[in-house]
This record gives sequence, structure tokens and C-alpha cells, in this order.
Amino acid sequence: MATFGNLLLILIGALLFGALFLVFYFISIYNGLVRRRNEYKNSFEQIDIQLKRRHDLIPNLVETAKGFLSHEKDTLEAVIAARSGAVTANQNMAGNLNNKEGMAEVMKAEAGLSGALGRLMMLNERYPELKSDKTMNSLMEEIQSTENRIAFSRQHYNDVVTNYNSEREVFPNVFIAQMFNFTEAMLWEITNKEERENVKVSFE
Amino acid sequence: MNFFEHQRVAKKETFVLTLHFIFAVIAIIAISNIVLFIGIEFIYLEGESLPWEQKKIFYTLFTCAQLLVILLGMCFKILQLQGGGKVIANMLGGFPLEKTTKELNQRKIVNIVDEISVASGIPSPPIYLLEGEPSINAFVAGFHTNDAVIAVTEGAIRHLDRDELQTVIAHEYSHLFNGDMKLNTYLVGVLHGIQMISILGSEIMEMTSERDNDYGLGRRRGGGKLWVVGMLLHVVGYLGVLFGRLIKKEINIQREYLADATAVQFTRNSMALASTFKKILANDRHQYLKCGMHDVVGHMCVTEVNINKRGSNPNYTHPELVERIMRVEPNFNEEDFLKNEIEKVRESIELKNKEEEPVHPNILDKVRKELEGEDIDKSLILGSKALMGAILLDPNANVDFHKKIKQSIGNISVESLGYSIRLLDSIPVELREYAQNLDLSRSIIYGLFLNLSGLETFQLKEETEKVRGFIPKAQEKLKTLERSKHLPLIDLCLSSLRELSKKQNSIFIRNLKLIIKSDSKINLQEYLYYSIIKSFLDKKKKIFGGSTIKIGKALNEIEYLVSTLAYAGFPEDREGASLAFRRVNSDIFDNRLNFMELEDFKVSVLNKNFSKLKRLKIEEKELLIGACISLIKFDRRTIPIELESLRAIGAILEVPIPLTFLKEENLK
Repeated sequence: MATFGNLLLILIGALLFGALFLVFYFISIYNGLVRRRNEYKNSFEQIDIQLKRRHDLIPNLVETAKGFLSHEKDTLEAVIAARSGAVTANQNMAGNLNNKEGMAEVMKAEAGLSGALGRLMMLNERYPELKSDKTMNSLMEEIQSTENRIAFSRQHYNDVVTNYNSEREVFPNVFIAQMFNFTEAMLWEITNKEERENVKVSFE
Repeated sequence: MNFFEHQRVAKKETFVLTLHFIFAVIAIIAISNIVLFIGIEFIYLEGESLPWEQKKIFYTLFTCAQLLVILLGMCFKILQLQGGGKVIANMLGGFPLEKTTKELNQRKIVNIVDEISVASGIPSPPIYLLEGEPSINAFVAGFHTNDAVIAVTEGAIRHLDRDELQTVIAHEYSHLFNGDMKLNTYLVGVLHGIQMISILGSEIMEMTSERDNDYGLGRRRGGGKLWVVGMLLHVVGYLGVLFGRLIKKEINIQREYLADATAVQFTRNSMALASTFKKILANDRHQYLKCGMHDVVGHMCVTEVNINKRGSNPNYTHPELVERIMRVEPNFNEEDFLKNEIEKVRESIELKNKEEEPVHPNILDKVRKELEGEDIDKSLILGSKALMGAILLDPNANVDFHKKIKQSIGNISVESLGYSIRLLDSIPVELREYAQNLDLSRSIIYGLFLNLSGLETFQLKEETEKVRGFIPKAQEKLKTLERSKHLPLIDLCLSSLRELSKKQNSIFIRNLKLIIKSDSKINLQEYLYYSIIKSFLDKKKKIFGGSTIKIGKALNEIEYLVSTLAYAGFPEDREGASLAFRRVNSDIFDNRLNFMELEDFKVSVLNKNFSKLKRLKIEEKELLIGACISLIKFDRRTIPIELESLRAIGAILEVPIPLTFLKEENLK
């Protein structure tokens, strides 16, 4: 009888241990999901920071370029218009990642801005005075750097979102994700054809 | 390139190799235990045996001691690197970049580092510049990510374009990202520990053989046995280090592949990485970091820094460049590249080496630090860099006089800065700003020369519309400018003008010559300005090797030069001129000169004289300039033409003297 009692104890112990293990396992999955969610939110912030940087730089750029490009008014005005569009879209979205429509708006407006900037950069090739001006050169460097940062921060964001999304969809995480409402995150996609043709600034 | 796949393979390889390494350590401990066992059981005790308990304790102690030695070796290495990357970067002569720098080349590096920081999600470390380092390389140093620094050589900045620099920085970030500094420090530490075993063995050997000598025959047998144990330990340790190094080399190589693949992940630009490697391959000066310290940073560089011939040398930390190119650019054809393309790349590198100005120490940033808190117009600070002579100094010149000036530049005092800022401040803002533009600065110089010749207009040949269009305005502005402000303005223009292309350069010089010659009389001022500008812009400087002369051989020429200077310094005052001349003559030239009666100044004679004086030995040139300085000091007041002359003489003799060095205090 003693052996039966022992067996029972062992069984209960094992069950308890198993249950405890399961609980910890689920907690760790939950924590992992939370961590990844915060990660992608944070990397979205990064994009935001870089976009702001771009918005801040543009007035300077336009101001400096004006002196050289008086008869390219349309291009400059397009940049200004695209910039204000992008700023408005960003304000409307207000950093809310669940606002899918707002986010799509932002992506579209930013893509438009990239296109307009790209056309301004092209002009740089056509006007040699622009290239030999020091203020313009350093502004171009900043714009180029910002474009790179935006691209890199998106790339980082997309990598992190992909990680999060696959973490969320695999078994058994999918149950926990559904239980605690971990919604799918949206990738940053390039919507504009012009933007796909990468903005290039030449310094040579 | 499928970089994720490459990364996976490299990580797996590293894991396997690290296991090998650990096994190797265990094997060494085991083998040395066996050696000891043999030594004790068969040689020392000669068949007698100790109780097992005692032996167990003894071997455990021995193993623990070995582990302790290895651990201590490791700690020692880690402590050595504890100072963080800054210490190493400083030791290598790196120069920290301010993140707020405005200088375009440096701005670019700072920006690129920040970009990769965004791409990798690692905060950006401090950046160092390795000046005067012609190789294309970069490294990260430091044990943790938070005390790491990243350093880039001047050669890399000079030869790589923006995309390529980005891949280099990304490669370095990958080392940070993958924790390679830690891994390498552990490996080096363990190797150090193993080496201790070998050293222990050789110590025992030495000790016992000494005893043999001291005590003669009596101790020989026992000592001999211990000597064998020592030798065996030495051999085991030695072999351990040898194999350990080989494994470490393999690990380092895998980490390089991993860093390459991660760099491509960050930049998504494998073509730029490949072209970086090609440039490094073609750059004849890529082989080593001039400043040494290979063992500390070698493994963290982009490419090999070792100077020895490649081969089976276990100290190599990097895979062959060709192999690396092949991984990022699968259809790369080595033979084809070595036969057809490499020469082209090499030529373009050589071209850049010749024509491009080196990146100068960021005096500007030091200045800004010095003036912290004071509100000063930025363009003023920028301009004062030109006045302080940063643009004049050829960093390769190894001359004492130069060193003195260099020192005065290195230790920028608030006074000398204040001096140059005062000078600049008295120049109208508009002129100052125009002087920073490549085209408008030419207009200013043209305007200055036209004013001196008393011309309203002049038909400039082959000059652009923009340059010509601005000249009347510049002339107008320059008319009201005091003469003492001409030199600072010229300096300011020169700092922009060094960006002229070769063709623009020769057009510019030719036009200036035409303006000077347009009126029948050439005055001294024109001649001086022209000399200063020409010798600065003259890119093909001749080296007068072999045929240097002494002062004794050029007394006539010196006579003429010093007399001219005396006349210029004492206009309308023959007495004063001769007095000053006599003083200098007796102080410096032992009365070997005769004061010349000069009717008028003649360009042709001056030119002829200078071409001989240029051949003076460098020390003699300094003496001559010293003489000129004391001549100017003689009457305790300096007029513009004296400064202009001095500056021009320095420029012609290729011992450039910056304006701040010529400030009044130095001339009293």
C-alpha cells in the first residue's frame, strides 16, 4: 500500500510540475510577444524620428535652392506641398499604430515627398552652381543621410515586424496571441513607383 | 548574396570551432596531467608509490592550478582592454570627431555611422579619425558595446565613396553586433593562459639546468628528471598555443565572413562591399596600419593589417580578399579582374593620392570647444581656420620651423583665435561669405588685382559668366577695404580655391598674370599677392633634391631680397632702411652683406633671385626668414606691406607662414 501511496504522490507531483511548467511556458511566450511588440513599436518611432528630421530639413533646402533655381519654381513648390501633406498625415495618425488607415495615409504622403525630393535632386545634376555651393552641398549631404536613415529604419522596422508576426502566428503562440489580442502588425510598403527608383545624390 | 544563409553558416562554423577550442584546452590539461603522472610515477618516484588519496588531491590541485593560470591570463587580457576603445584609439593616434562637426568629409562619416546605427539598432559609438594613415581600413575597439569606439583611416575617407564607406562602417558595426570583441578577448586570454604552462615548463628547465651547474654532479640525476618534466610541460604548452592559434585564426576568419554578411544585411548593398574590397586589393598601401598595434586591433579591422608575408602564419585574422569578394559577388572572376580591371582601380587611387588634400585636423572643432559659451558667428570661426594656416600646412613636411608653427596651431590659444576673429570681423560680411564660394572667391581675387592695376574692366579669358558677372560688385566692395584686410581675405579665398580643378586652376593663374601685365608697371603689392596665390595653388611642387646650397653661395641674392624688404618697410626713409639693414646684417649675417642702392624694384631680378634662394637648405631658409622677421621687428611697428612680403617670401620658399603667426605680438 505504501508503494501505491508513493506512486500517487509521484504522479501528483509530476502533474503539478507539468502544470507549473506549462504556466511558465505560457508566461514566457506571452512575455516574448510583448517584447517583440514593444520592439516593433519602438522601431516605428525610429522611422517617425527620421521622417521628422526630413520635414525639418526641407524648408532649409528649399530656401537655399531658391537662389539658384528661380525658374524651377514648380519643383520647389511641389516639394513644399508634399512636405506639408506629409506633416498633416503624420499629425492625423498621431503615432497610433492601430490606426491602419492613418498609417496608409502617412506612407502615401511620405512616398509622395520622396518623389518630389527625388526630382529636386535630379535638378542638382543639371545646375553646376548648385554643386559648387557649400551650403547646398552640406544640405545635400544631410538630405542624403536622412533618406538613407529613413530607408534603414524602415528596413529595421520591417525586419522586426516580420519577426513579431511570425512569432505571433506559430504554434502554440497563436493561441496566446488570440487570447490577449496581439494583432497583426503592418509592414511598411513602398507604394509609389518613383520611390521604388531609389533617390540618388551624386557628390562626384 | 543570400546574407542570412551566409550568416547562419558562419555562426555554425564559429560554434564548431569554439567547441574545438574548448576541447583543445581540455586536452592540454589532460595531457599535462599525464605528463606529470609519467614524470612522477616513473622518473621521480622510480616505482615507489604514494597512497591514491594523496595523488588524487595532488592532481586535482594541479588541474585547478592550471585552470587558475588560464583564468588569470584571461583576466589579465580583459583588464588590459578594460580602458575601453578610447584608450586604444588614442594610442593609435586617432583624433576624435565631434558629432556636430560642419566639415563636409567629417560630417559624412558622422552621418554614415548614425545611419548604420539606425539600421542595426545599436547606439552609435564615438568616432575617431586616423590621420595620415594611407591604408583603407577601419576598426572598432573596446570590450562592451557601450565603451566601444569606431575608427576610420584617412585613406578610407579619401578613396571610398559614400556607399563604400557605408559598407565599411557596417562591417565594423557587425563586429559590435556579433560580440566579436568579447569572443576574441576570451580566445586571446585562454591562449595567454596556455602560454603560461609552456613558460612554466621552460622555467623548470632553466632552474634545473642551473642547479646542474651550481651543484655539480651530486644533484644531476634528480635535476635531470625534473628537467624532463619541465621540457614535457614546455612542449605541451607550446603545442597547445600553436593549435590554439590555428583554431583561433579559423574562428576569426569565420567572424569576418559573418561580419561581411551582416554588413550586407544592414546596407543591402553587396556591390558596394565588393567594390570596397577591390579598392583595398588595388591599393598598394593597404597592407598595414602605419602606427602598429596589430595584435590589439588587427582582428577588428576591415582587412588584414599584418605586414609579414601571408602564408600559414597563424597570426592572420582575415580571409583572403579574393575569397571575400567571391562570397559577396558570386560571378566575380579573379583572373579577369587581376588582368584587366585592377590597373584601372589602382590608377584612380594613385590619382586621388596625388591631387587630393589630406583631411586636416579639425582645428575648427577644437576652437569651438575653446570658445564654449561665447556667441560667435559661425562663418568667423570657419574663416579663422584658414587664417590659422590649416590650409597652408603640408602634413608631410618634416621641418623644424614647420613644427614650431604646427605647435602654435595645435595649441590654439584664445588670443590667437581672438586675433583672427578680429581680423575677419573687420571684413564686410558679404565679402566673407563670397570668399567661401568657389566661383565668387575667384571674382574677389580678380577684383582685387583689377583695383591694384587701376582697371575698371578686363577681358578675362575662358572664365565663366558667373565669375565675370560678380567682379564689378567685388571691385566696388574692395575699394573701401583697408589694405591690412587684404591678406586675411586672400587666405579666406584660398581655402575655397583649393577645390579648383586643374584646368580652372591654370586659367585662373593665367588670367591673373594677364591683369598684372596689362599696365606697364608691376608694383610690389601685385607681385606679392600673385606669389602667395600662385605658390599655394601650384599643385606640381618640385622637390629640390641633391642640389641644395648654403647661404654663402647666395649672398648677392639675399642682399637684394633684404634690401628690397628694408626699402618696403621704410618707405621714403633711406636712413631708417639702411639702419635696419645694418642691424640684421651684423646680427645674423656677420656683416657679409652690403646694403644695395635700389632705384626700383624689378620682378625679373626678384624672380631670378628667388629661384636660387629656393634651393637653400631648409635650415638656411629658416634663418633667412628669421632675418626678415627681425628686420620687420626693427622699428616696432608693422605696416601691411611688410606682412605681405613676409608671407610671400615664406610661400615662395615653400616654408608657408600662417597669418596668425605674423600677428603683431610675435613681431615686437
